[in-house]
Amino acid sequence: MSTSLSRRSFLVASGGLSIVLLADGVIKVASASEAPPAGHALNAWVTIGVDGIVTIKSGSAELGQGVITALPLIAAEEMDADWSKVRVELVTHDAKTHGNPKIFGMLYTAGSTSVEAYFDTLRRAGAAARRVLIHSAARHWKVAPSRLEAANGTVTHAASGRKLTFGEIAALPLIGDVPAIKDSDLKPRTAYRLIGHDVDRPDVPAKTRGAQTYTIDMHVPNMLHAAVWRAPVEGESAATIDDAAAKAMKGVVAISKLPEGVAVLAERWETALMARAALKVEWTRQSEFRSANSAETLQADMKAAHEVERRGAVWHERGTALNNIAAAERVITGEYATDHVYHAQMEPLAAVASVGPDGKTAEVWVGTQAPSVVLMVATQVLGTTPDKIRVNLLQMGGGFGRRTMFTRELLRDALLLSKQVHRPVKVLWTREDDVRNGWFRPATAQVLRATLGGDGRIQAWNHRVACASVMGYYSAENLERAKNRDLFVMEGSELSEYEVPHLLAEHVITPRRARIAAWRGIGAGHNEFASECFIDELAAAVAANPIEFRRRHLRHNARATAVLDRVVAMSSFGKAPAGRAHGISLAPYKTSVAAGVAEISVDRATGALRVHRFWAAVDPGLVIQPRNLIAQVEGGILWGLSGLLKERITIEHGEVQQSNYHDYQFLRMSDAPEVQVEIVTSSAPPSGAGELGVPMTGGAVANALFALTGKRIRHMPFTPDRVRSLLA
Amino acid sequence: MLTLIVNGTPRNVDVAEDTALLWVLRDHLGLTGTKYGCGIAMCGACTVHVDGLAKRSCVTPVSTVVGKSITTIEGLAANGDHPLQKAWIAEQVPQCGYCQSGQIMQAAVLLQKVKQPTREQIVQHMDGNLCRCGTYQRIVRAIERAADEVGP
Amino acid sequence: MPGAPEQAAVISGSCRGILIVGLLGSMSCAQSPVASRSEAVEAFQTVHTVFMHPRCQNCHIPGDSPLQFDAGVPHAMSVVRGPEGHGAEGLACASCHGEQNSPTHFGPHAPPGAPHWGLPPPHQKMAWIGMSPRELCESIKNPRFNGNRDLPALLTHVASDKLVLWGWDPGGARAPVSVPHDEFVARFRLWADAGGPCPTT
Repeated sequence: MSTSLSRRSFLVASGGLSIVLLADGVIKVASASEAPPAGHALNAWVTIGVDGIVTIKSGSAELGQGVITALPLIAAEEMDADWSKVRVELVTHDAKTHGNPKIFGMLYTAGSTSVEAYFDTLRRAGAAARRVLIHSAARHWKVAPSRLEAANGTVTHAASGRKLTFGEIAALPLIGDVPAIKDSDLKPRTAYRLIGHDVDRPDVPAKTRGAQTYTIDMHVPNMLHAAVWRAPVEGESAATIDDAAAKAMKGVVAISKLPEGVAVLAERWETALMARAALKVEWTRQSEFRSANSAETLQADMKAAHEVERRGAVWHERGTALNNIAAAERVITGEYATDHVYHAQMEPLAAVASVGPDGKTAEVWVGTQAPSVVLMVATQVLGTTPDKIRVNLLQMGGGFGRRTMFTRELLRDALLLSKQVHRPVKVLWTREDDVRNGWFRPATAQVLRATLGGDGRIQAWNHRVACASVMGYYSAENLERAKNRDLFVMEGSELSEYEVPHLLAEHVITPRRARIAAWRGIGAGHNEFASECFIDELAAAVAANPIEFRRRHLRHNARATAVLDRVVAMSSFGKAPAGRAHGISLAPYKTSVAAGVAEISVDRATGALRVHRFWAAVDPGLVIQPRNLIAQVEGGILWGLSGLLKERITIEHGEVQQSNYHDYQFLRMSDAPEVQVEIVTSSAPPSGAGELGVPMTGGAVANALFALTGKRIRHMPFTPDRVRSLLA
Repeated sequence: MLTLIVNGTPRNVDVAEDTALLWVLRDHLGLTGTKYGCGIAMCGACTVHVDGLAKRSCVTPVSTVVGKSITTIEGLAANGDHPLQKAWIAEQVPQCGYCQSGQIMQAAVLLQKVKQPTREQIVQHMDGNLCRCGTYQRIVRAIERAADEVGP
Repeated sequence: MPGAPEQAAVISGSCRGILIVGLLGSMSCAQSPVASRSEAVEAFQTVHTVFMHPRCQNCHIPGDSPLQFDAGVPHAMSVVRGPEGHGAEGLACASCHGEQNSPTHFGPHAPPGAPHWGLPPPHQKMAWIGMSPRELCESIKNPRFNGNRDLPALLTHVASDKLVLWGWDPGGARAPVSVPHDEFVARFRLWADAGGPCPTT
């Protein structure tokens, strides 16, 4: 590719330029709309308008985690852009260029991966953009590029005092071929002016005025509202539909059978709801899921977890744990379980679709964590190609794992209905729809076994998690490709912080009896509850202090030791006021390190457990936005506490038993403890924080209850009835 | 046809009398800042003011508020600069933001009735408003900031 | 009241008959003076049953935090009695509870409603959870406890107060008070007309 005159004139004419970074680090100038040259993996991230507006592309979507602040800020830092002129553009289509390398290269926001996945690319793209601007200004002034400096959106020639803003440079003839960015061209952390320094989130003002638009708020001209009555049991559909009463209602446009339900299309949402209530539907009642009972499934899974000769899919292995356990005189075993939990994101699921007259083109409006899945669904449903689908990505009223694969059902229905009635259609799930058709964190049955050496240290560790595969439900092909290694279930079972020589973490994959999904914290949420409780059990088995016992296994782990020490100091661990107790959990999330302490009390009469205070020390590596990161960890802690104190989905006869917030309650302000989070600085590269608060909660609270009562709670959630019977 | 007074302006709406005020505001009047979260008054996302009192619009039949003064988040302050809105920005409260209209509307009634609320009073008044992102701590701080700014 | 016991014995005998065949008879019963003490005490057992129903006692609570649902669990959202029994200053009962039950299409879990929804005021909490019949009887007759009502005023209250009546039409999937309202009123009337004698236990 060369910077031909024609391209230059196109760029000037189009009022901006795009910086293109080749895979080998070479920088080119191009228009974002140009097709990438054959044989090159292109990275196009930064566009500068002649008005000085810098637009940075984000492969991640905004669900409240602050990614539309953090990602552009990384590029802006290396670019020395004026932050007030930086805008973000969400990518909807080009996964090949902008996909998340941590998630199969898809456009997919999950697993707290965004900053980790895009950090290096974005800072190089920013540095590349800066270099193009400097070289272009240098040629304009006929000086050497090395004589110029960039800061806050302006390039300065110190010797002459001349200045050009980025916008002014964007209007100049441009230098396309500039030297590639080397590692040494990137700023040292000490030079950062944006990274590590709090900026206000650009989305906050609108969110205080009710002006942020979510999918549920979309109104497209001529749009119909669809309320869908879905089969109460997975795998069933409508056998007979009596829609006479519904059809007779004024404003009802159509009643339509869908693969898993019946839709009422009406001019108004309230009409659609009332007409849906007037439907009489007989369901097929022949699904294998009709016998599903979550309590029985968990029981069966627990049996499987105990059948230690039944090998699971290996998630993580070091040394020879099983041999060691087989030969040991004393094996300590612990059993833990977690029930299903629901996302309860505040905005119920919605999608708007407008299918063109040919039935092969469509425009959709949807807040999703997974634009790649949107394209997959839309192209499959309409039998078309991605270029025929225009996607409007909206901010989400919470995601937490709920908004990844949901388009398989919801967007599909919106497309089918719009295609049928030749009008745009908004499908909205009521809260009841959302709960009853939820995709839940899998209930898990876990068995842990360990042997201890004569030195009071753990020799061998076997963590068995029995439940269905989330990854397999998402995509059987992906599970096969991953060789049955399901991170949604198994993440966090590696015991990565501790120096344990022999370890086997395995997933006993059992038949799926519920719709299951990733839930904030994924596997680390349930696995580290079990492993951190079990660590406490082992400490008790050798009569060791739980902090000291953990330190025994952290001799070469400075980062883990640092967060542990910090949180012990923050909480004055072990010195809880009378009637209360402290519990600790050292709970990493992927490569982020964290430890938490809970201070709890319990009402022995009612079994009500109260968490009064919670302290956390976190080391997520380089922190892009400290204030927002702390907010994320705070939120993650409350999320985790909510799940372990209050939340539980049960399934009987294949039907979800809960339906709304009266019987699926989650943490309210009065339940929330005072939370204190501190960042422990390290030189590690940036990792994730969106879920980092979650995994530490289960172990900290359960261990505190043990410290307070001498009883070990093993089944999450720790509801009053369970606590009461534990203490009886 | 019913006539509602919304944010100080009379608005005519052609709806059934038992339609929830929430949908009238959102779908008929385009005031989408008021949110649907549960439809049964358990989450508070739909909170508006009716004659100065906090009201869950999702369970309020529109016929019951005819002639009364209805205020939504869009009408809380002319330029979106209510002391609470400014405090919400200063404390960087919102994450996903979906519940925050309801939180702010509820907090506005609190400060109307109790100028300098204690932390206990804040929790008592705000406990009907759910936030799934876990911003409660920041909400409390923002209310305290706004109360300080307004003064007794 | 000289001679009253004999008279009452006759009338209450016919009254009981009327109650068995149908409650419409309770009016004629009421026009008559009094039942016997033992019959009045027996009638009070019905009153006790009604008062102990979750529809009544969820808000007739000793502290300041009402209960909810058929199970009588603590009302979510830190709901409190407030200065006048209508909730906190800025979070009134009326924020969620309207003047009548929610329309059916709001679903079975939308909040119920009735005029002046609320709890007894803080200076007269009228709490009776866990009371024995005797305790309840003594409490509800005590003007310092019952809103300064005499027996006829109490009868009017249980017979016609719209919030009381809601207990028999609670909307949604809520269980109504287990004793029919007219039977309850008849029994209450019988007990009140007999001077409101209290059980011994």
